[in-house]
Amino acid sequence: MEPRFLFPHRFKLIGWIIAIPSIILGLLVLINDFRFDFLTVKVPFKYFFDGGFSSSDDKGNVFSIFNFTDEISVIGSILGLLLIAFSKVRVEDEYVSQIRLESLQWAIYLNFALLILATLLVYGLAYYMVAIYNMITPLLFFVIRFHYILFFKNNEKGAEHRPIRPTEL
Amino acid sequence: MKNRIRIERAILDITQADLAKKINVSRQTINAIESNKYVPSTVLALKIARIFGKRVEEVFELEEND
Repeated sequence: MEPRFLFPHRFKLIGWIIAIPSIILGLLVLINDFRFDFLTVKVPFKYFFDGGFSSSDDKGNVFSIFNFTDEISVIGSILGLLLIAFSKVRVEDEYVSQIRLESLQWAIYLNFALLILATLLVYGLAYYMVAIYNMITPLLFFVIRFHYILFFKNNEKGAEHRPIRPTEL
Repeated sequence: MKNRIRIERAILDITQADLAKKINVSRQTINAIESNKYVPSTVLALKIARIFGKRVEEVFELEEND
């Protein structure tokens, strides 16, 4: 059965190349308020969806000044992780499909269990941080779990390459 | 479901990787089937049996609780 909705295998590497720098950049933005100055852009319209705590530096003007460092990191993290998660592995077969599906379910359970926990325990601005991390954690949990099962857990006993001889049975 | 893949493999003297290659699946898949962690689809079971030159029932067998 041909798996549907998957990218070709080569996109996996591209995914890693996009995702890792984007996630590191994102963490720098969150922790150090890091900005690339060359990504500051003056856009010729007033930003309509500014709810009050955005990074727009001049409100009430017809121009808005934005720094796109955080936008780049969010979009890069999401696109990169999507490519890693949903590119075919080298041999994409029915067992891999099952692991993929199970891992997706597992990641969703874990993500929302943690979200419920955070909802109960975290308040104020810190909860806003939880929401930010939650943008990529479902994909992140999926990628970790899927690759762990496929490439580590399944190799423990499977390292056996020589078949057992009939005389040993 | 029980299977005799490991034994049949031994008779043909081929590794998990060899068998996997013959039927276009990953070695992990063969390993998972042999260690009873994965029940293959009908298509895959038929392909495996064909490699061993046996009928599916001779390679795979139902268990009590199936």
